[in-house]
Amino acid sequence: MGSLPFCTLDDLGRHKLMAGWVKSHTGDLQRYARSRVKDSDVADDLVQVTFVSAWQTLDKFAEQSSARTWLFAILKHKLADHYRKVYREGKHVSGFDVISDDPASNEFNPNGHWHRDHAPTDLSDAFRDEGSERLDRALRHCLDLLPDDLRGAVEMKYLLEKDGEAIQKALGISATNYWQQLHRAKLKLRGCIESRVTRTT
Amino acid sequence: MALIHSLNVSCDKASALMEEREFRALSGGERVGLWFHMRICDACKAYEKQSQAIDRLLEVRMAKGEDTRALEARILNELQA
Repeated sequence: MGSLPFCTLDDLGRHKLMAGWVKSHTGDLQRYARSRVKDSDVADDLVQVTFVSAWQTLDKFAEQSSARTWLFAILKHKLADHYRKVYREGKHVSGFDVISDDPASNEFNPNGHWHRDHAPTDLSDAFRDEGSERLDRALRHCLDLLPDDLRGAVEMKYLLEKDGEAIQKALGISATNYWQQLHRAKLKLRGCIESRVTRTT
Repeated sequence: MALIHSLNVSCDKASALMEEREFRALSGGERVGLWFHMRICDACKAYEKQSQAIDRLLEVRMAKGEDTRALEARILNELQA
């Protein structure tokens, strides 16, 4: 640790270094945060606490990782914390309730087959234009329509790099319950994106 | 009987297994059941493609650019404090 240049910086030097990071990285961090939480004020706050946290732990910043990589790692932690709180504050319901009390999730008949109106079909070309602006917009719109717990389930999958155990531990739910949430989120996203892209064609 | 039972996979179950297989190895029965179901169900075949497209979109997703000057000023202010 003693070889790190930051330890030798005086306060003014540290401030200048930090200010440079804020200038260079705020834009990317904000875009990243805003595409992962519905409320842009919450996203901005998370970027802010990322920098505050970086400032407080500047001595721990290892020179070999770039500032950008380090800041993004902190932001991901803050995002994961955010969704952990969403779950802890009880906005998530138990697996049993999830299944029964949500009419929008009834993609299936009681026998488990697709409802006629919800059955995916190859004829739909909503998903053909991967990389298109329209599809990307639809995805973002539909992510924002998900209830917080389902949004959290999806975001955690990518924030914690598909480490199932870490995700379940963070959210405080069982594996089965987590997979169920992902499944429901995916069904909702699929239906929402399809209807949105089809409508705006 | 076990084989017959394993072949009895609904669309609900099939689409759930598609999520779960990213996190755990499916059992032999589940794999056979899913494979068989996918052979006979066009809706689930379409669903699988679309679901994978959504997964790819989620991996690469990035929001569009926004003006960050106000937030930059706010953060700098916070750090000075």
